[in-house]
Amino acid sequence: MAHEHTADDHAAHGHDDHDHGPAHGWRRWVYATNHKDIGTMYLVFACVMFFVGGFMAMIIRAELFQPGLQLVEPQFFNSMTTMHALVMIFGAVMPAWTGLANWMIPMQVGAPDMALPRLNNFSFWILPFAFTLLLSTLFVPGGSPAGGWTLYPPLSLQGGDGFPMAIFAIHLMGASSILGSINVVVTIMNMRAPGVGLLNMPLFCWSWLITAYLLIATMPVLAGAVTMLLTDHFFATSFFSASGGGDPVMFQHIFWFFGHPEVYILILPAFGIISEIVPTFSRKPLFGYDAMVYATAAIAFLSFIVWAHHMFTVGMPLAGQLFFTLSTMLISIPTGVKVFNWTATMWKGSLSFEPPMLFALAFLFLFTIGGFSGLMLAIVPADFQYHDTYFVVAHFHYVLVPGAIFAIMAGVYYWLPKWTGKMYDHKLATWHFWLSAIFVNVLFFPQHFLGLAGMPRRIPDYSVQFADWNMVSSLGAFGFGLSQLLFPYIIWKCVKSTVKADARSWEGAHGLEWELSSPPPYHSWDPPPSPEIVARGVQH
Amino acid sequence: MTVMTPDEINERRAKARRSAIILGLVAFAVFVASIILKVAQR
Repeated sequence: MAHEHTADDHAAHGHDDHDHGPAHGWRRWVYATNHKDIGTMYLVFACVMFFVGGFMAMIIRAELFQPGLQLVEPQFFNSMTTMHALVMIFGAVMPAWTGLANWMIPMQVGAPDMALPRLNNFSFWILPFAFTLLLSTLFVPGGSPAGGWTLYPPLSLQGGDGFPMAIFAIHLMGASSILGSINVVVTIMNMRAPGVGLLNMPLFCWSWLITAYLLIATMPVLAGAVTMLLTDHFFATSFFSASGGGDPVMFQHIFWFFGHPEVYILILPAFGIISEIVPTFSRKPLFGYDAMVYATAAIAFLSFIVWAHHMFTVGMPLAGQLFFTLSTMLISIPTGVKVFNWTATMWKGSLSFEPPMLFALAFLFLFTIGGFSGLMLAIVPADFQYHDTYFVVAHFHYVLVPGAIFAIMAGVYYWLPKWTGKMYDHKLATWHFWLSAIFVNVLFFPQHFLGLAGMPRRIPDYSVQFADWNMVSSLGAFGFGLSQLLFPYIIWKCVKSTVKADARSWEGAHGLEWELSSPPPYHSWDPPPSPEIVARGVQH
Repeated sequence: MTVMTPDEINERRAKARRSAIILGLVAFAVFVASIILKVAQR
């Protein structure tokens, strides 16, 4: 095997005249400027939030196990649906992507660290404060926000003391995301090693670069929207209050101008990860690299011109309905390019089915189901029937759970040997996969039937005709929730394991990160990779 | 294709800082614009 870039190279290079190693104790984490330490903190934070948000989902599904009110008050139930969404989107999925970006982007582009390490520290440490604030709304008079994560006025303006706290928390999360994104953009644009060009860097970097631009363009719009909510509530403005001449529908336009690109912020990095994993376990280069880059950019562009498909039922001119239907359907073209390219990558490949590949394949099938139900929702007359039903809940959970969450798990199982230098228990990880893949379908597939039969979303009680499928869905939820406990256990076991992982942990792995030792030296590429290493590591 | 020197890396970091400031200003401009556009809509 080719010579690995190790900590010894680094010492031999004469760069040890200053302290490169990690600080000890709490200082290592609080004052962290190393991309790997910050990446680890992001991933641990995301994992904690995944279980907090998951616990809220368990409360929701326990209440919906049978018709009638059994466990919680309706107001608290609505708080749970609202907080589950906010915690999962802003606390679990987005920080998990930022954690993966922190770990992998410098290693993949041949940089010693992120371009702005102190800004990186600040981006992360905003998050624990933001979520402490958000979760503490559960304990204030009036409880947590309960009007849905979309915060539509006038309902959201009727919240209690938790309302301004949630808005401030959203501002903090937004600031963290924007700063993190700026760091990703400037790292990729400025810190690539010589020879790592834009059109031969890994697809994960490309998908994150595009995601970062989306974040910088849309998070401030959310900040603007919630700031106006705040002033409507406390400073007697009437941006969205009809009684003062404002327009509540305008909030929905502004919110979804942020909200739809946000959906792609959650899924584009997943496309990047799948584009790394499928070639590795097919032992073939990615089919259509350039097309994948352009498709990602096309999806990002289209995400800005589809927002009103979330609000067909508020009423809009026919021309508007046609425009937003057609622009939404256009997204299926670049997305189709991706799905077919992944399939073509596997075609006649020498496939093997290690845990990352299993999660990637499940992503391919199940995310596509979510994509298809999205096409159904893009059709205006059909959407009039589906709007605000469990069909929508089924649709976006198919996109986000076996979509985004499975891709995060695939990414963690793919790079965990690189991060820790140890190989994890494949048997347990395969169990984790099959339990997740089966239960996620038991959980979400029946929700399509419930929605088509007319069950509205965000209700704690329902008509008895919906009882059977709700029970099935809840059983799926409990199974899925329990099986996720395997995930931190497998990681913990891996960290404690004595089974060493190779530098190139997977036979077909290709990329600069696999040219480093496992675990990599504290500063990944210091000295920068030699031209020979770059030539071996870049996409061809 | 050559290997970067520490000076080159520092130069790139300085360029990254300048780009970051510009991107931050763009984000702030979008924030202000979203409110101004709402006011203009009235």
